Amino acid sequence: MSSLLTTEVAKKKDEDLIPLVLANSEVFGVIIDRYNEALARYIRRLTRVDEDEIKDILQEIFIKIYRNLNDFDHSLKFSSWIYRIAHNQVIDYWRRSRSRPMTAVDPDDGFWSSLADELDLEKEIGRQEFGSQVRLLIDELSGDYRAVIILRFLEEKDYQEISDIMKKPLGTVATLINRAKKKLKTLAEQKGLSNQ
Amino acid sequence: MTNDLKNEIITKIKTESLHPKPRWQILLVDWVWWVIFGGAVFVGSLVLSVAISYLAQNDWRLYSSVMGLSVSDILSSLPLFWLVVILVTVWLASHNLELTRRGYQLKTPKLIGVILTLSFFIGSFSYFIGWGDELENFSARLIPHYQNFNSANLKLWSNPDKGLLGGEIIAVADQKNLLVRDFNGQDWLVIGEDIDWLGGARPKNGSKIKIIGRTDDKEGRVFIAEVIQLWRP
Repeated sequence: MSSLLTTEVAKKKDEDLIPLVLANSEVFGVIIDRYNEALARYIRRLTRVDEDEIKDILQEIFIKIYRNLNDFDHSLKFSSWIYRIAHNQVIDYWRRSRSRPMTAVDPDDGFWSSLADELDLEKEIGRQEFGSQVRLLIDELSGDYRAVIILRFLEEKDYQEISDIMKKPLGTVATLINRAKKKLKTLAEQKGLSNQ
Repeated sequence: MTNDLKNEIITKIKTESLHPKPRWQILLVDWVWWVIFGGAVFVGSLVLSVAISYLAQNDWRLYSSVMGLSVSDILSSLPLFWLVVILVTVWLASHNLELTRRGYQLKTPKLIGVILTLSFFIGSFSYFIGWGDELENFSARLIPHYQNFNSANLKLWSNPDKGLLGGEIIAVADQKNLLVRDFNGQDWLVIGEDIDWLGGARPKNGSKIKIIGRTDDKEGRVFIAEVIQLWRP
């Protein structure tokens, strides 16, 4: 693509890129550039797989996005639709690899403060150690609970976005988040991390 | 990583001649789920019409005049087989609606409410145009052991010792003297001085009836009737 065309294309909104991608597959590179890091981070947060595996999963995700471009529902946010594909692909990966996913979360994320406040967890131990402790707690949550906690507190998605990503009603999303928080709190108490 | 990955993906798309799935194919899959959903609701509605037909065979007014019946006796007259089938069709309908592009947005209770409401209206309509009765007769012929699944009503009215007798009129002397064959194939002489024929029914050969009364202590297979009603009021 010419540099002028590239500049013009780069300005377009995600949804407006779809007809351009359908006409020229090279334009798909713009979508890859926009979402590559965010999706890699999401995969890293959901699973504790190495960078090579993240790359393989990402490739599968983007190929799937490309193959399903005509399936995009304009009533959704484009990012929600992409995250939905990524989410489903990670679940498929879990099923295929049969490995128990671990959570590789950056302990420097602001996640810990907001989650600690939500759950009234102990904060006096060192932040790094606290981070790895909470990471292990999240490890013990089942798939849906882990996903909603990460989507809500790390990815900072609102309830509607989570509903669209996980294809669950809003009420179910709210229930899952509440139950996940309760479960985390119970686990934290069992491991002596809670204030109570 | 980004540029490498991007180049690999674009190269793969080109070398393997990958294309986005055509929109008609995507919509077709969605329509398939909608068709299965609609089919499940329709089948559920027909089943509901059979259940209504079955329940219509009961006369709840009669139950109130019968003493000594346990709750389980009355509950056993419900069409349990068909209720189970309705639950299965409701599950199938809600499962398929969730697979459609936007069906997941409906809350589960609302989803089930929509399905049951649709089934109720279509089922009631089907019953009133006679499909419920036809389907019940059809099921009785086609489904093996159907009578065992849905014979609770027959069992209820095969309790002459408890004052309940059901069967088919095979001979009529007059309104006070009938010969009735019960559901076990046994013949009963049904007599009564002051029989209350509910709903203005008249005895005629071939009619199925329900009788409340008592057995004659002295004579075998003589039933003294107090109330008689057609099987289907």
